[in-house]
Amino acid sequence: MNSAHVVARSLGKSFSEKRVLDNLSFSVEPGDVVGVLGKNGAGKTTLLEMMLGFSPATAGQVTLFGHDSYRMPADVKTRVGFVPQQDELLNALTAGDQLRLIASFYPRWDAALVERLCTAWGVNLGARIRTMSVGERQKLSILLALGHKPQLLILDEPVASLDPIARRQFLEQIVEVAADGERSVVFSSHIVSDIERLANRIWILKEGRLYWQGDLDSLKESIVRVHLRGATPLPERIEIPNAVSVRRDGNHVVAVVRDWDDGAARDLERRTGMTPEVETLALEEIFLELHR
Amino acid sequence: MFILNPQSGTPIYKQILEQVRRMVASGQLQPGAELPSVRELALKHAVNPMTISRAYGLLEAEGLLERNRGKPMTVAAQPRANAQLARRLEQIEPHLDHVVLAARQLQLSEAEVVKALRRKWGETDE
Amino acid sequence: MSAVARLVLAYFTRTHGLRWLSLGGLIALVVGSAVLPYTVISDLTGVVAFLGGLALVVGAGLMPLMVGRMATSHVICVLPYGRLKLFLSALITVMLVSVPLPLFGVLAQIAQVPPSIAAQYTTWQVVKTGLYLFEAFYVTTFLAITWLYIALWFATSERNARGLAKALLVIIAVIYAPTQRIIDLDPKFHITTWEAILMWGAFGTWLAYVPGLRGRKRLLPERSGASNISGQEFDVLLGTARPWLVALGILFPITVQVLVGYKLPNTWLMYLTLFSAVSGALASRAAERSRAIWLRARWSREELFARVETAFWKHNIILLAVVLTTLVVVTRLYDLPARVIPLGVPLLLLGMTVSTYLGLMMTRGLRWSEATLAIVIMLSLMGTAVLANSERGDVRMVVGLLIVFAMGASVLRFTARARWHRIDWMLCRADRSESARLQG
Repeated sequence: MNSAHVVARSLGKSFSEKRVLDNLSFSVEPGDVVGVLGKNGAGKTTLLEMMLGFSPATAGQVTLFGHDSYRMPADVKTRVGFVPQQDELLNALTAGDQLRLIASFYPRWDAALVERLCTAWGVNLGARIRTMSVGERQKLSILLALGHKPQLLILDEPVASLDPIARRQFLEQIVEVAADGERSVVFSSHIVSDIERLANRIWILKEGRLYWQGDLDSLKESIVRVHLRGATPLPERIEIPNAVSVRRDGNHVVAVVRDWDDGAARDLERRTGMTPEVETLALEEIFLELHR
Repeated sequence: MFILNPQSGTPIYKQILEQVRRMVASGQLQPGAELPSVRELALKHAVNPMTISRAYGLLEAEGLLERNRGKPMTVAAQPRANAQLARRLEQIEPHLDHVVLAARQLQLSEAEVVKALRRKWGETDE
Repeated sequence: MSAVARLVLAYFTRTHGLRWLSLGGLIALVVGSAVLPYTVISDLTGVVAFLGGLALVVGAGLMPLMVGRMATSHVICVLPYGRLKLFLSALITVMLVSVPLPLFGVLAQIAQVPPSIAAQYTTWQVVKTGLYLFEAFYVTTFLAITWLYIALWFATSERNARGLAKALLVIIAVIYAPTQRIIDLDPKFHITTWEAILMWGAFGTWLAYVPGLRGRKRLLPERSGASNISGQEFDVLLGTARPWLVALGILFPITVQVLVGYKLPNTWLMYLTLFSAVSGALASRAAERSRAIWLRARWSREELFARVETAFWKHNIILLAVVLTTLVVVTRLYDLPARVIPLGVPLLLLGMTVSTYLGLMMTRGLRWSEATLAIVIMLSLMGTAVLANSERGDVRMVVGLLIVFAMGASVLRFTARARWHRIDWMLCRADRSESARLQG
């Protein structure tokens, strides 16, 4: 019995000849916090919106709680929450009205939680949305997705406009959501440090393909920077298997290698006759190196 | 209780592993001492709770921590002395790696390094 | 001065389509001026000339929006004498676009003078008369176009029903007076001149003080929207929650017209047809607004369309009632021909139906094909209205056109329904640039 929240098989999406997503297969299990990384235009928003059935797949399929997301039934809709990149707030309403409006669509709405967060995050319920700043609007959008306690929470750049304090509060709230191990979160962000804190799984999207998907811990252990330093200049062509990038500076060769383990270390030592110095990388550096 | 650096190349669970081992080995954490709950720690450091429970789980498997139903994890009562020693030696491994690597790069022989080490040891005794 | 010239050029070339329109208007101006004095003036040439003259006006249609944006941005502070240049550029633009229509009008007048009478006057006298007429027409046109641009400002800066209603209000309530004077050849242009000077003076003053206005608190308190939520959540999200507000917005300019006693009955039906198309404008936003509904409401895409359709009909019934009542009142008041009501009622009903479904069809943003269709439909509706209203119009033709509209309505409904059943919300985003990027 497949208990995964989201399953995608060979998912592809093209908009009139332009291939935006290509052959994506992944799953989101209960308890996962998935961080989606990718350059602008890599297809992050398309991926997230297709998971929610906003757009039909042109190849493969994606299912939510076992149902095709394009034809999501009503009970599945109550179990998902979404924070879009561009908010869908109605300018004419007050924040309180907007919350009440959205709450009316759900059978279960935790008003106490929302109220507590409004106070903690400084969202003024009486303020009219057209007078709110971008940060306040974003906070409100996040609250709208949390109120019905969804099992699957999907967020598209949810903190782009928040200051560090607000971001930390948001992170703490996601930790709360993830704490019980039954709910899952998928979020995309440019703020790599946030993803580094929260995610246990990482998807790296590059030109519409899943360049990497796996545990964050394995990612950090598997992609490393290797330094080779010799007394004499090193031979012109050094073959370093699985190298993502290689730079040389006189006697110093720096290579970023993937799929690193003890076997790879021994192999490299054998090839070059030198003991490599291994430097582990922060997620942001990994991301930069993969796009060099 | 812990110092966690999410940006480090070392995964968070490993950082917790190393710190708990060090603290137990040095006596900072006495047997029976309570550790913060997964949720508490995750909230405090704003990190994924799964990574914390993974660390706790591994430490429990090692015998360093024990789970009490309904109550927070505590340091195991009687860590075996041998295990202690092995644990402590494990802590010093990375430092030894550094020394060996540096020595090789500087093209120093094993004897020269041991001599320097002995000298150092003597200095700190005084 | 080159900065001013560049600004003016920018107003005419804001988008690709508008650039061509401006060019077309320019060509029309040149060709029209050369050709008009020698052609036979009929309704057709009148309409063509009118449209040609209007092209330049529409080509610079985004000028109010651009000026408004620049006035409240830092551009105005950075550019030396920025405010003055902005003011001059706007003034020069309006002065330029006000030239074709009066020019055509004067030339048409000249063309209509029988050759026998024309022979009695010297060329110089003809030119003098022409210039006198032109001056009168020009000032009135200038004022009318100023008001038109104000209306466009409302319509383009607030792209919703409110903005549209305000724009229509301005058009109807204010442009009538000057246009009537043109038609009556009654140039009370002293008053008109003062009015024009007053308006531009007000604009210049606003421009001079504008940054101070930005931080100021709103003068009027906002109406509370809290009372609208109960039981109408779907309508609030869709935008159909306040039919009475839209109806009021339509009713106001109509009332003004009735009070002012505008006597050209021909255009009454035309304007009412225009109003019934307001619902189409609202419907065109349904697709992008329903985005927020997909994840919240329990309906599939098929059920969603059915609900959306029902919501719009509930909304439009009220507008229809207002518009039909007005039709009856106006017909009685101005002793319009008896056939206006039996022909007008189905026309208005069909007009509303057709424009609503056309709006609902727009599930991929506004594309050229749909925009063209919208314009064609609007013009046909208006043309049918004119035919229905005038004594000379052929009843059979009107009935035939009504049947065509009915068939068209059902085709449009079929298309809208099919499109909603496979609606792709990534293609009808509020952010048009993103949608355009995806569509390539």
